[in-house]
Amino acid sequence: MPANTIVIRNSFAELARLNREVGELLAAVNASPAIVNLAELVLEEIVTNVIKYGFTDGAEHPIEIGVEADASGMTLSVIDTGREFNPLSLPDPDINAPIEEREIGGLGVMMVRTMMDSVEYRREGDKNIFLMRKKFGDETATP
Amino acid sequence: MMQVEEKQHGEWTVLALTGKISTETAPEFQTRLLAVIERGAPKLAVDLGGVDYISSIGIRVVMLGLKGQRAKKGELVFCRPNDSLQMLFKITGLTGLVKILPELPA
Repeated sequence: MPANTIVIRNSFAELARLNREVGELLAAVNASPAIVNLAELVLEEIVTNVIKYGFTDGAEHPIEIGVEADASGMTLSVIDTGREFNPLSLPDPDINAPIEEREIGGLGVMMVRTMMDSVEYRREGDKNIFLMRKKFGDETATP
Repeated sequence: MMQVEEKQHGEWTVLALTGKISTETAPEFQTRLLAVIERGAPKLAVDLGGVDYISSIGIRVVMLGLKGQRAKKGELVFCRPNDSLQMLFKITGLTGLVKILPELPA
């Protein structure tokens, strides 16, 4: 699979460019609009967490987004050098709680976990590495 | 990236969204939705027909809208979500809380 890396700064202003570049990379393998939307959504959820919570020094840091795709599926990765954080350690929110008691925390990660075929986190040296995989063809299937 | 258009459809106030409800655009969705609710729209429909996706922050706006409209004792329905949005509503447990319609209410 051809792999491509997009490097952004830890700033929300970078999200629009990230979406655009992810869309271009996936268009190159003729991914469906549903797949492009899915990739943008799950990357936004994970990257947003990194931007919000990963760094505390107020300085600029790179975040590396990998898009590896062919006709059969894609692997997306997010690599950052922020503080050690495993998104998969967040408990799923209680989706049966009354609306007044709903918490937003953990919702994005739960969405990612449910919509992708597999997700994986590991810490390597000073890096957080988050991987997400999806086979094409069942992107709108009900979980 | 996202457009919001307000229109009247019979007795329903319709907030028609187009594009992506993301970290970038959710604040505008929130402002517009809560403003309409605050002003008073007893029958309010959010038309999702042109929406590609809603991220978790957008789901939070949906919840805020539900709370707001509940406090006003008004109705709030979500119309024409695509397959991915329907799945998202299901995953996040919104399906049991909100009324989802395949078409705009008559």
